[in-house]
Amino acid sequence: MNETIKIFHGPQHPGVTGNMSLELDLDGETIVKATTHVGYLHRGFEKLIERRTVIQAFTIVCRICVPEPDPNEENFARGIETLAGLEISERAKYIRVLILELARLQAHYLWLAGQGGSIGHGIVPQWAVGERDYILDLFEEITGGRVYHMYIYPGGVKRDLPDGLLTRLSDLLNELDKRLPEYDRVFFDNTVVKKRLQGVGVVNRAEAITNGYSGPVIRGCGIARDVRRDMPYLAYDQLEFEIPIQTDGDAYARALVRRAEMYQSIRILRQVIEQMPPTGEIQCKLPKHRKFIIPKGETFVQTESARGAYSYYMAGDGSEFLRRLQVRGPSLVHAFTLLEPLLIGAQLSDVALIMVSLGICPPEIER
Amino acid sequence: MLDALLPQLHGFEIIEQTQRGERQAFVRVPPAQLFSLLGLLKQSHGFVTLTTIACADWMEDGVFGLTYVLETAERDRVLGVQTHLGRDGAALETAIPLWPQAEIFERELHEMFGIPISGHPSLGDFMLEGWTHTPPMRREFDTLKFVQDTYEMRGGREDNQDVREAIRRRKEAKKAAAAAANGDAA
Repeated sequence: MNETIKIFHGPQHPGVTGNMSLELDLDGETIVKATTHVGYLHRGFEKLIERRTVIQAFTIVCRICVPEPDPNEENFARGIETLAGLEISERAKYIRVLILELARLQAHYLWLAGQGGSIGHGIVPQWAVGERDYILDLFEEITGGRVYHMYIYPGGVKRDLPDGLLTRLSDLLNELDKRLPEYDRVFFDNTVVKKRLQGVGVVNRAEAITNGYSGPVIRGCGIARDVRRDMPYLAYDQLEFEIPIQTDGDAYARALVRRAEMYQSIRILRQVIEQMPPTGEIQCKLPKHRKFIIPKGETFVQTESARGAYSYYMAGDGSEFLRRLQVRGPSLVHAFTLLEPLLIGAQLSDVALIMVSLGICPPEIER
Repeated sequence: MLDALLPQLHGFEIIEQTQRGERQAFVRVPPAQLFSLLGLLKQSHGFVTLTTIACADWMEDGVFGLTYVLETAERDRVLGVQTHLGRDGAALETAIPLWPQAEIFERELHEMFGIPISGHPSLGDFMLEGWTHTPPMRREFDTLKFVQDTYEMRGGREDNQDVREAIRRRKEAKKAAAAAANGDAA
């Protein structure tokens, strides 16, 4: 065996949001061993939440994941609703779907920018970040925040949609839909992109379900697993959409899955515009904030984020604080159980693109 | 879901059971039966995915409540298999032979709660580096005290004052002014 050298790749990586280090043993440019190291972003959110009331914890959970905070808000809200026995209105359900699908769409644009950046593609990242900003404009209009929204609250949402928002959303969807084929031409059908992504980071289909992979990673190897379809929440059981799959299991298959999901999100959002009840309450009656007791009990909630199934285990002890909120984002398993063996035999220059294609988000690993 | 499942779990002592909706349930068994039940559920009842291992610290009862969240391949059922483990250093057997991702879940349990995991090949630093204090997710770990003992507070600006103290001083000044005004009037 040749002599190997050891390098630390990261904690900054092109296209990856957050910090995480990879300890790589290299034989030339080929990786013979990879070890993931985290610890750069541990903020202790789970511990903080044990001493926070519902309204205080609500402002924390969105910060667990920077590129797509809304599944955290949805999980937290739905978990509290389950424990406290709260029912939310139809209109609130549709507004939440609207927020979650906009979040998925902007997260996929951000992924597109990251994937382009990780292979030295200059044009698409700029386009994608620009498109994402149009979506963030809508978020700002609806919630007051561009990245962190603090909008999906137990019992519904914090405030109603602004006048004319659905018309502006419809106009934006038309624009995005019209420009998506340009991305096919410049990125997805690009020979250089295909050469870089095809056959790289191939996920083993046989172990995908057992090991708990999710999102585009599992759908990229031919398994149509999606929480929105498997365990429908909010209004997803009243909406028509497909679960796109690809069978090759490589980085290119995951890219095509995300590309198809962007179209499906636009399709869902158009149905939301059509089907959302025009009036109705957006927030059910709640106890006063300082008297909001979380009943004793436990629940497990899941939301399908752009990166995969996002889960919360929540336990209440009959006080105003949660006894335990455990966050389990898809990145934890993807960054350790999947990534470490996947990198063996890969080239050093492909590390960043594999990480981006798995959708690894270090902030949600450490919480 | 439990109505169909429980009659098939012969020989297991189900201490507690909770059904949440049609597709989610929790069952609690003694620690000694945990791994044989997990193995049976994986092999014979379709719960092939281990999604997470959650731990809640019930300090007042002297136990950690562990929940192994399992899902079926179709993700039509979720089952939380639970056990209570003593907080006094009782060891937990590793679930790596059943699910490789347990390796990372158990590293976190060890670091954050101080639970010893027997048979685990790589327990060590995970999110924390060189941590020698009480494991931080245990209830007795006092976050505020740790911060006060570990870090120095910056002096801050001149106007960085204790708000409550400032309010108290303002009230006293108002009282004194009112008393002085009353004295003048008298």
